[in-house]
Amino acid sequence: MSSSVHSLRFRLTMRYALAFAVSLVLVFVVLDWFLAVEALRQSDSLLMAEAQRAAYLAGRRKVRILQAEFDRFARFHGADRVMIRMLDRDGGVVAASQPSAWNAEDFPLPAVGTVGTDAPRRQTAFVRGERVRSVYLSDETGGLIHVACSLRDGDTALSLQRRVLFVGLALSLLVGTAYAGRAAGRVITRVNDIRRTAASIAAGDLSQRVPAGPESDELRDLGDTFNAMLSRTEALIVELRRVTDNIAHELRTPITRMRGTMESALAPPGTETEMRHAGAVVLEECDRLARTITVMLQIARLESGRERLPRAPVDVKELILGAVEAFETLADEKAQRIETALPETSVRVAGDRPALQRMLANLLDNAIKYTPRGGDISITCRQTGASVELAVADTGIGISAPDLPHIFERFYRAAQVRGEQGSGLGLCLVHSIVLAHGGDVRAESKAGNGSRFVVRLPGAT
Amino acid sequence: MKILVVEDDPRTAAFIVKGLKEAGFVVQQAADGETGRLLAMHEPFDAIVLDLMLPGLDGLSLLKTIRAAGVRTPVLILSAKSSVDDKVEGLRAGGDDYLAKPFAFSELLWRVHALIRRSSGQQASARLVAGDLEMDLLKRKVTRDGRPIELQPREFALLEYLMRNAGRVVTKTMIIEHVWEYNFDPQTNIVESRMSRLRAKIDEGFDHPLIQTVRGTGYMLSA
Repeated sequence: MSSSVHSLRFRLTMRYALAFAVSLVLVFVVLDWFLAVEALRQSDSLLMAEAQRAAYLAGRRKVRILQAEFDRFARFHGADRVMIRMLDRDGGVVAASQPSAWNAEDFPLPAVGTVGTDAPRRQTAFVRGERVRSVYLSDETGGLIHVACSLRDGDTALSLQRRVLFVGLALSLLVGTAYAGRAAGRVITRVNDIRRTAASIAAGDLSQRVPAGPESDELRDLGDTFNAMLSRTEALIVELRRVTDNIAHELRTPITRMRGTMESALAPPGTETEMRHAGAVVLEECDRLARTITVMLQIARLESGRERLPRAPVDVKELILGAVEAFETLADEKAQRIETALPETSVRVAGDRPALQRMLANLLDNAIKYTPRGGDISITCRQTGASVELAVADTGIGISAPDLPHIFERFYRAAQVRGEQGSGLGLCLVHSIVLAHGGDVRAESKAGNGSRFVVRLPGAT
Repeated sequence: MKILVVEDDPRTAAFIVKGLKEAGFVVQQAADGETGRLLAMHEPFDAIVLDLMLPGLDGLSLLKTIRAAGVRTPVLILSAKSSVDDKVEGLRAGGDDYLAKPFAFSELLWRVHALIRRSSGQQASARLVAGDLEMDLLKRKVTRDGRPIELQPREFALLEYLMRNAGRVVTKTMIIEHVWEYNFDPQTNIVESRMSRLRAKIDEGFDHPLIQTVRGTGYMLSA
């Protein structure tokens, strides 16, 4: 496995962990802040309630009761945790809870006039290693009530909470990162499966397929798409090999003939007549080769869609009459009759005239070639809805059932005609031309019972 | 008549030059585009045979350059590419005719003659004569040794084509292209079949046959 794939996994995990950590810290800070604020609010409300009670009692000018209340308050909450005192206008102590954990000097008194009967003043002081919260409140007589309580308990709880929170967050970060690492690893493993498959295909093994993932997800879709592409490629390669083999055969045969002819002509004693004859054979073979190559290229261009055929209105009736005129002498020589059944009105398709002529000529040429002397050939044409149907039928040798599905393939030649002259490309070209016009062609035949080729072309609009 | 042949393949160039010289032309050859361009610009030729795939300046650029410079010499393009698009491109660049490789030399010769005839504005005569064979193009009558011969329209066209090229070999491909307005595979026996009928009408009963088969190439009418 390459280090870059490894580092992709590492990078994915680290990014995930970082994002996770940042969000956890945010949660931590916000939660801590809320808890601290809430703890302070609770202390404040306790202090405020006591301050108001003291202010009420002070208004009644009952110092003794005030003192008793202060003592009760201190006793109830613990003298080491709270303190309350009442000062008169001049700062003299009217009453104070006893005993007190703190000295009065620990708390600087607020300036006169900054505290009202309804406007308490709150402040936090740091006394002997702990935080102490104070509330100052004026009473109606102008005296000052000071209630203080230690924040020790709250701070202890807060620090415990922080520890718990910290440990919890650290744990989730650890678990989250580990999970992210595993998840990234799983994805990378499956990506690697695809990469390995691609690598073995690059090494020549087209039969490899990506294993389907356990879940139906995007990676499985990717694998499926990849496999579909592979199947298509494999089919194309098989087809390409077949065609290449055929081409090699088609080219080798005439080259062998030419070579043999020339070799025997050059062998002594080579007469001029012999040489002339050999030269003529070579010329003919060259022409045949050139034609085969031209037709192969034409088929390839039509099938790949690279050659866009011009679309002009073509009169099919005129096309058929032209073909009959061209081929009638050939049919005559074999005492064959060519009959046509054509509609009264003109029938038009949109297409390329020379290509359509070639298509029809190939069908008619085949019909004449594979029909014995005295046979009948018929060409019919009719408009069927938006399309035009053209049929060439003969009473010839026909096509056997096993051959029928293959006759439009490149270089396919039925066993019974393999000895005859022909390139094996004629029907393939017919097929390519018809397809390039957006039509279709089919063959109906029984061995010994004649053939019928039906071409359907979209009519001209 | 002076012809410039721009072709880089020495063997192809050799047989074209040899054939053209044998046909009575004065031939000059250039093996690359730049030499071809210089010759075409500065010397008067009656026709240029131009290969498209050339070292240095390619054939299409050469053609565009000399046409832009006002050289009107008719140009026959030779190319290994044979698709319709290639032909259109060549003719659009200023070519007058297009011949795909491989070709029959007789076809190249015929096309060069046709180009020169076209550019010199020769009028086709209304009567064609080859030995004792006469063709009246207006009345569409054919006689041999004064005896009238009945021909079908396609046979008439075939004979006319042979007579216009009397003494020259015409290939089956050329015949299909010029006699039929129908596109079929030269491998079919249509041309042979028509030719044997025509031959029967023209040559039967005469000691000297006019239509000759040139094995491996095509046909020739010789008086």
